[in-house]
Amino acid sequence: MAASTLAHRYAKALLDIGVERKIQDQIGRELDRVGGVFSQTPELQELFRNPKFDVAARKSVLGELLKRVMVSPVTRNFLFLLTEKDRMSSLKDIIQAFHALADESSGRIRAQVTVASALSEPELARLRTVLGKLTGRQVIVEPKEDPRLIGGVVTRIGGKVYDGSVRAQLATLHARLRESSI
Amino acid sequence: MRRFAFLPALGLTVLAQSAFAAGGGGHEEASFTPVIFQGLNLLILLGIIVHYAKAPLRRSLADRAAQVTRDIDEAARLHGEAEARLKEYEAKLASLQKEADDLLAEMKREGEHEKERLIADAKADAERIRREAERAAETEIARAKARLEAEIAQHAITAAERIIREKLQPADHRRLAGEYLSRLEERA
Repeated sequence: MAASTLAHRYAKALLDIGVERKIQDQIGRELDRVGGVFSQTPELQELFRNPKFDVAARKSVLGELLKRVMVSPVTRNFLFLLTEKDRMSSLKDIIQAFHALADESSGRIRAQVTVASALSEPELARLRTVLGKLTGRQVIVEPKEDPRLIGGVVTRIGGKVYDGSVRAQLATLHARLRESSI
Repeated sequence: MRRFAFLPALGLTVLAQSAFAAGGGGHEEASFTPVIFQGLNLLILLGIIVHYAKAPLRRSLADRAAQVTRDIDEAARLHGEAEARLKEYEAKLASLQKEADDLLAEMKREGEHEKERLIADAKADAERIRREAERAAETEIARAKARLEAEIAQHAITAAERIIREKLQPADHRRLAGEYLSRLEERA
């Protein structure tokens, strides 16, 4: 089974439970927190990847982690299920699929906004508004800083990219210089 | 000819009898009679000989003459043939000489043509090599120029990026974000 299909199935099952209990947004946030801890902790990734650690050991560590991260019983049981099925390696894909499905079901859309310098709250609000007009949907902005942009903003939303970065302008200038020299 | 082999022997016998008869006579008058008889014998013998040998001798002579004539004709024919063959050989020799001359001339012509062709080929090769070398040089120059221009462009962009990074202030970030949002709002 393809990883995306598998992640979609797990995400759909979790979303159905969340919608039924009206905690889908909470589950989404909890998954983001757990996913963040996993992505920043290579030891955790090794624990769930290395076959020399059995399910009991993994569940024990996961239990300790979830005490600190604080998640709902639904999220907790879901993560233990993934551990038993040895599917924690797909957690990142499952979280992405969960958000996509949740956004789709609620008429929302996510925008990955990359900036060189953090946007102020009024700027973010203005961005949400204008992206909402462009897409006709409620927009969830996920900002991220990347100094390689030098300056400006890059927004990825619904398969489109609105690149207003200084890096892109320099790349365009570079291409024109190359073309004019040819 | 074998038929007349007895004639010398017969002649010798008659002569011997004549001599014996001449030696045995002691008287002058007695010696004429045997001589006459011997002469008659000789004449008779000759007559017999002529009578019997005339025709064969004539045939033999005629045959001989015919043979000699044939031999002469044959010799003439052979001579003629020899002369004809000589002329033929001479003609052939002359022809061979001409062929040899023609062949030599042809070889010279071919040699000249081959020489011209080789020279033409060599010139064409030289021209082709020269053009290829020119093209290679032009290509290499173009590549070097493109590399140089690319490096210049890259240096320019790198310098621009460095200067922008140095000069870019928080207010500039705000201005860039504002311009970005304005452009999006124009699209919306």
